[in-house]
Amino acid sequence: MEAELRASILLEEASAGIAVIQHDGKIVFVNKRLLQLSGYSKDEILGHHYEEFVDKKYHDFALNLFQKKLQGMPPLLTEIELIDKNGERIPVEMSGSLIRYKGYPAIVVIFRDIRERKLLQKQLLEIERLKAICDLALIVGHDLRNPLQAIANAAYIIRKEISNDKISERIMQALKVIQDSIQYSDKILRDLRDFAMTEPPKLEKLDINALVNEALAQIEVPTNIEVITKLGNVPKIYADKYMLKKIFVNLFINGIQAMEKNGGILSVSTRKRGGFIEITFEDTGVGIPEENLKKLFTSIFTTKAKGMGIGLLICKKFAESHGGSIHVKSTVGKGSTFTVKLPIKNKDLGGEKPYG
Amino acid sequence: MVKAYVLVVDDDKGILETFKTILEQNGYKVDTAQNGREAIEKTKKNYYDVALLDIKLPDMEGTKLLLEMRDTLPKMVKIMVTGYASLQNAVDSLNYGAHAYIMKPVKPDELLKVVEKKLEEKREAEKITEDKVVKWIQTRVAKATQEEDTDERQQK
Repeated sequence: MEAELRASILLEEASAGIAVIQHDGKIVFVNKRLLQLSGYSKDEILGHHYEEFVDKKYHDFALNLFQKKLQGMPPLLTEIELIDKNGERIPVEMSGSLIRYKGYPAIVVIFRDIRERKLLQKQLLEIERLKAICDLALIVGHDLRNPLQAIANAAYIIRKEISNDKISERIMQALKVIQDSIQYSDKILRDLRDFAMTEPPKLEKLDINALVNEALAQIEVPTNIEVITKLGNVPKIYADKYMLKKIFVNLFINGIQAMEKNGGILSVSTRKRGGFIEITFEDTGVGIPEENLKKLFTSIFTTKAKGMGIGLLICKKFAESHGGSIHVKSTVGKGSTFTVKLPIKNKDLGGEKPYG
Repeated sequence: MVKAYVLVVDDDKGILETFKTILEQNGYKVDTAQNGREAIEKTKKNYYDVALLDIKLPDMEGTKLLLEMRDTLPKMVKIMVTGYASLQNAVDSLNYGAHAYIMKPVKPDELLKVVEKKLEEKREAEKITEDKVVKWIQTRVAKATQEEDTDERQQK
């Protein structure tokens, strides 16, 4: 009797989810962990058919288990998905053993939550996928530069061969299209390279405020948008000029694009906070829905018809390569705020040089 | 009048031919090579003021080509025109004696400007050397004449 009690306590308190399913598929026992995992109460599970709690794909699992057990095969580990009370699928690892319950065969099933493992696997896959994209991007980028150069050259030759008084408006227009398209292709290739390259930052002493202004000078600001800069007193830091400028230019363009339709104000400010310099880009544009916010810095993602959606990924990569970070806050209809944080003394990059 | 002699080295025929035409349209005399070996042979036999070099050739790296050409035509202006841009490539090229490093696609007008500018710098450098030689000779002559004068006076 005491042994039985001990066994039931063990089952009840086990760190894995445990259920007993009798021969007709009805669940006759669940432990605490399984209730916690599934979100149901005991009453909602006991006496119900197991199929209610398992994704359709796996409905024959108990049958298979029975058959394998009856054939005397060793316990098998299988991955299936439970469906919790909110309808969410929970990946679990499952094993079962045959027992007798009230005179009939039944199975004890043990579930282990493998959500974390699955998440890790997914992240690893994503890293591998990105790596493959990067390798491909570099190769494609290199190989496309030659034909682009040949096209640019051919257009130049044609222009040069037609004397000024004979060249028509249409030919000029067509040549301009070729030239603009080459430049746009070049921009795509540069973005791809920035995204894919693995070179460390090339450090030099930089005035962040001057760099913000330099980036702004590169931007064509539409007349319905006002850019306000509030540049604080920030120390010079050692950083890669190309990378930081790229971050600033991208965030300027992002902010402007968010306000393209209705206009607005883009406020850019710099300040020193703790050991960091913060550069903030605050727009009064359309804002970013919650579900898109998460994807912004983690995957290739865009809502624009044109472009690859790697601009912010490049910003994140470049900020992180300086030991910094980038964050976003956004309210739909009100606007978004992107904040770049860069360490003043960069230990990862060998520390601030004393006299530069 | 021929502005200068140019050697274009690239394994892409489309680029080779169009660069040749563009340079010819602008008064240069142009020769081409499709690989490193051919390029080196040509620099042994002929004289060029400028070379446009691709950094990746079928038979050798552009950096090796630069080194070899430093021996065959040391005073030739070497401009790297490459699709394989990386910081390392650029640094290596400059260390191995390249005078400029340009990324494809470059606007032909801009490339022509770089060629012109580098040729101008080369001429300046040569002129400075010439001037130095002239000056050195002049001072030498002056000194010699002075010495002669003193000798003559002493003899008197």
